[in-house]
Amino acid sequence: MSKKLKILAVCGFGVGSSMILKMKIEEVLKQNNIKADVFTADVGSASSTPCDIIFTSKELEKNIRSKVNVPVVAIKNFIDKVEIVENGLPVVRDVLNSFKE
Amino acid sequence: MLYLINEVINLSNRDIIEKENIKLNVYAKDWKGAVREAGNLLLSSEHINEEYIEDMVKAVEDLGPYIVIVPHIAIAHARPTNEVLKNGMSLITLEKPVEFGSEDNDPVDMVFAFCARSKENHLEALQELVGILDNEKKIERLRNIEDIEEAYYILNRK
Repeated sequence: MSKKLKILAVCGFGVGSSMILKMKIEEVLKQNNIKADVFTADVGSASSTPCDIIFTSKELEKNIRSKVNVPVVAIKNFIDKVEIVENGLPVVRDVLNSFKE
Repeated sequence: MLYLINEVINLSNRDIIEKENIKLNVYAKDWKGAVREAGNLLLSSEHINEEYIEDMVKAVEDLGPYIVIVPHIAIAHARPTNEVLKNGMSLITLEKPVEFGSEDNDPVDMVFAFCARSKENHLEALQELVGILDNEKKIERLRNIEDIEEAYYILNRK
């Protein structure tokens, strides 16, 4: 039995934009039949929150990428599911595959 | 039980954005001016204390223009604090767009400001906001609208 994927959506405070991003990630995952837990966090606590993938904005990406060793996906338009599918889904599938190995 | 029923009725009748929290064709000198204009609506409708407005400005100063989460639209907000008196949301459209410094989503001509008392209890408001942002036709209409009544109708139509 493989473990469940943990995705973290990150914004400045973990209450606004990241919530919106979380909703959109969940929609994309559901449409693609992928099961995962999606959480939100603020940029300060992102690096100490256990997860398998981080989704965030382009502005916050630089801040986060150097502090974590999980893949970071930068999203420009938080409600554009196409962008989440194109940039995020391949990363999600890669991580899921690594779970099976 | 009656209490619960009332709760449900209240929720379904609640406005996403009240008329007094909408202002159209606002002049703002720069992004700070735009955030403050949107914040001032929440202040005069008694949703926040004045400090919350500067918290929203400071968020962008500290963390960058990440609040411009979709092209040309900023969602100004700060951390839930005691400065928030009740959950709410405001919208301004700008007479002339301003630059937030967002590489991909500038210039901004619509600013939503929202305030929440806690992390959990504003989820519903955010879902409603996403519903609006998702609807390109609605956004296009709001962008060019001059009548507050019409804007109010578009924002709150179920």
